[in-house]
Amino acid sequence: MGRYIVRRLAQGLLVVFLVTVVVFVTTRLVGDPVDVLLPFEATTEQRAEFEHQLGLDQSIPAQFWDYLVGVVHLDFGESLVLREDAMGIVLERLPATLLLVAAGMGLAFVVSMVLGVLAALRPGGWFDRLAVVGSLAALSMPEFWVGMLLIYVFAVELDLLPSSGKGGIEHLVLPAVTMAFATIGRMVMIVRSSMLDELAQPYVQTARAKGLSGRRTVGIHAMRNVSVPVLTLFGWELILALAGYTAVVETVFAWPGIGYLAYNAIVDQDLILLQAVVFLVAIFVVVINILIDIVYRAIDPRIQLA
Amino acid sequence: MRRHRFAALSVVLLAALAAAALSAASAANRAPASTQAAAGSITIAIGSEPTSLDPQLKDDGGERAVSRNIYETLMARLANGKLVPGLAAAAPKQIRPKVWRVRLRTGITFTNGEPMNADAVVYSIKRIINKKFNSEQVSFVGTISGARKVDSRTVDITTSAPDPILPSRIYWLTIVPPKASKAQGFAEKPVGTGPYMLTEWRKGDRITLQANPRYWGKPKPRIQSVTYRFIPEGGTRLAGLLAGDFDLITNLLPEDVKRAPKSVSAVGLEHPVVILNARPGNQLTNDVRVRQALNLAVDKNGIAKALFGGFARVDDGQFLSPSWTGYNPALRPYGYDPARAKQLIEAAGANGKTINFVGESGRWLKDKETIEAIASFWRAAGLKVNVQIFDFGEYLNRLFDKENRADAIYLTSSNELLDADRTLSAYYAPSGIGASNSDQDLEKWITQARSESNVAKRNALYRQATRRARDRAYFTFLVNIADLYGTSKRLQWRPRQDSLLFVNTMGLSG
Repeated sequence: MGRYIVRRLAQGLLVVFLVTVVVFVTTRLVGDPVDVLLPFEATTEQRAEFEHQLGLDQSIPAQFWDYLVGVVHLDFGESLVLREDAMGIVLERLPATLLLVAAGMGLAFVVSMVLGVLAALRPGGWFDRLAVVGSLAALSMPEFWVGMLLIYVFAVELDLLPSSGKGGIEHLVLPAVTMAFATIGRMVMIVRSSMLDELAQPYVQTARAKGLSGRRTVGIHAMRNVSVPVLTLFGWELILALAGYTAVVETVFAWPGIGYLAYNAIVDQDLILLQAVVFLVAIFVVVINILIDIVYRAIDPRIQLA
Repeated sequence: MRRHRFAALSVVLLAALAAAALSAASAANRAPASTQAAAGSITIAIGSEPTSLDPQLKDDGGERAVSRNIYETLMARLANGKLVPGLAAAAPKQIRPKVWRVRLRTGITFTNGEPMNADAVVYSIKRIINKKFNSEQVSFVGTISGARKVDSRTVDITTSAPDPILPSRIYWLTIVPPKASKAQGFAEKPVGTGPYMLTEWRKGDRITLQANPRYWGKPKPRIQSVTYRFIPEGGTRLAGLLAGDFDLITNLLPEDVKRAPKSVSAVGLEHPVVILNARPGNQLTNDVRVRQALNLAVDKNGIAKALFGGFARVDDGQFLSPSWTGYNPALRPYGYDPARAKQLIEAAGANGKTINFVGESGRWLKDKETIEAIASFWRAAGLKVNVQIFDFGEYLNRLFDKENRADAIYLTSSNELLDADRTLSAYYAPSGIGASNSDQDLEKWITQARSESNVAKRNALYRQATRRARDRAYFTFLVNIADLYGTSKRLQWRPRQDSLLFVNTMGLSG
């Protein structure tokens, strides 16, 4: 187990490194941050001087080497736009994102487990049909649109919740629900179909024949086997949430997390800040993957962590 | 065991959610935003967070929206754009070709007690032009090369060449306190002479300012406290305005004017325009008949009405606004004459030829829609139009590529100096960063005008240049977009030509 984790971490480092290279090179090839930062009317000389001060006039390999040396010393450089330590800014914003992802994905997990299992217990029943149609609808709606819809209903029409921003827990409700929406749609489908598969297995028949209660059969024996595919999907959803949904949801709700930060960094072509965000998200992705593998093993000892 | 844990976890999460919903509901009942704000505070939603509150560092609309309430400049502007003395006692005088003398007002202090005097002004000028400081505002302060204290209330500003635009330039030169600005963290703790001062900056969330009780100038602030929120999404800004969370939102969409409780607008700084390639090497748009056809084919009024809801005015053969220095009042727009456009295309033998049209999407108001509308007008005139929409970074590469110019490049041009030189130097003069013509007369006139101190002669040169560019159709001239703001019913405010949001010009009714 220990050796396994060490090896996975080593692989993870390689992944983080490769992601860094790709982000570093592509962002520098796509556009010139000086064009975006300076007013259009700035002269060629003014641009050249500005570029020189930022160190962007060096060759890409030279810049990359400087960057790597910096990273080894935990120095990710200064944001081009905010002119402060880039990783410091990202870490300052990270708690807001973690709070949002934890709330959104926690909500998604609980709701989809309950709905998926209930739907599977009476396949073809009214609740099952409702759950399937509802899930399809939920997973088809873009986060952007769901967010706007929720704002108009709960903030503008009903005046129950704030329309945007971060503050008390009431500010968390709409962004978290928005984030959970599509995930619930996908997860309910998987929970339901996995549970249906399991309930058709011979061991369930046996358990029932032995006189075990329905709740015990479903809740313990089938649930454990259902957990493996569900966790696989959930891990994936967690990664999607951190690396993707946050950018949309945080932008719609002006939620001050790293997704909002990444969106701004892309708009402003703040290469240094973007690198810091991607670096941190890549580490999260690696760690989440390792954690999921470990949980697999806890659920099903037959799985070899090789 | 496992089941219990799972059940417990679910119960905790559900309880937390229920608590959230309940507390949210009670919080909403307890303190609706509108009653709180009636005590003399307002909330303004802007599109982006200031990237710094150091007023000399960034070229950033979000920064400007906030810090121009904290900091002041030697020259100020009235709402209609007219330059008037600010911290200066009178307009600067050009005492020698490259030297401008400024007399300062006396008795003004920064909110930390430092005096606003010649030392502070000289310091501020040297600070912003210092190469190491690497200000993004270099192109605004441009020619300024130094400053010298004459006496405690007089400063000489030197320029690298004679510069008649200096009074406009120093409208962008904020005066900062020498001591406080050297301290660590000055960019987060602004100290100015203006009508408002910083209360709190919660990064990513909000900035709150309060009125400066000892503000020297006029109008005195009537609103005690102002909070800025940073909402990138137009839909979210509008929702916040409708829900009563905000009193003022920027960049209201024309189609949302009817939904907003109230809306106000002012002629803005932005001019969408198409730069046409008139260089000799080009096989299509180098023909003046084709370029004129590309103007006659476009229904400018239709674009102003259909895309901008009428909140735009047709540009009269130049992309300068009437309030700017160098605007040519004698020019008339190209009419909308599709039949004549077709004839000209035929006559030039361009029928069925392909025009490459470079643009971007999402950076400027209605950019993609405008590009598509223009393309369809051009198609109707008999051309094939190859619209190329690029990512903004790649788009800028094309716009600034001096060697390979596309036949047509879409641009929304803006001019914060409110002076023709900035626009003309960048897009009209062949050496300009975004110019696509090789008209050496334009180069000559614009260069001459840049250092011509005689106002009448300078304006005459600009009239010549804008007339030439209009008649030779170096551009497809479009419209001047109005700035649109949504406001709450209680906010009393008239927007300005330069798009700045001065809170001391705002008041609350009732």
